[in-house]
Amino acid sequence: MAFTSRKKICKYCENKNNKIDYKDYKNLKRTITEQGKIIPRRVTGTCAKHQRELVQAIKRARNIALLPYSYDVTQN
Amino acid sequence: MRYYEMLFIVHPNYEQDRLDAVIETVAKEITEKGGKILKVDNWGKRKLAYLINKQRYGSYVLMYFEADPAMIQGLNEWMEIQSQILHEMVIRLEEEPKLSEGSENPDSVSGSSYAAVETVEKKSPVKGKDDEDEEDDEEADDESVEETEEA
Repeated sequence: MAFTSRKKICKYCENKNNKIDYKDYKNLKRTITEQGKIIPRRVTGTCAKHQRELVQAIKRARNIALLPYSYDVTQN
Repeated sequence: MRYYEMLFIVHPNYEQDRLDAVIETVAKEITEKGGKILKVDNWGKRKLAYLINKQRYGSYVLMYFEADPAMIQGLNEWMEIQSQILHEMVIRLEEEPKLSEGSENPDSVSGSSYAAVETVEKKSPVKGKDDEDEEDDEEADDESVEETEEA
């Protein structure tokens, strides 16, 4: 169990309705850690194409203050 | 001519009539520069993810417009000078936007915008003492999310 790798599926390829948009910050929130870092695709299984779009969208959302550049985890 | 969308944040002191006046001046500036406004979408006041000019809140306005690429730099510079605008971002659209009638406010789906932002920010339980633990936790989280979506 411990060393078998799961088949990773890109959830944007699987479901075409999942659009990547910087304005949709609620869905983007799932793709960042509690500190606000972008989760690597080796963890999420997102394909290269969609990860690029995702990164672009997250950075745009950060720029316009829809998402933070970082959360202060120690504060809570 | 190309299609663009611009999202900008107006200072929280500007409300209702004064906010409309600010939006109007921006729209006027775009048309004066030779652009054409396609849609104006006021999201209303919401909490910013971080402080901008010492402000915690701001009014978001989304604008779709058609313009010559050469005028965008001038528009950016003009927006920077406006004291009532905290922040602005212009994005070039590759194709004609599908304009819907309603607002595209991401908060409007679940009622009150203020509550929505705050509840999401609060749910960050302290977990995982070292990096390995944390990664495992995240993977587990992802799985649960996928499952709920499928269901």
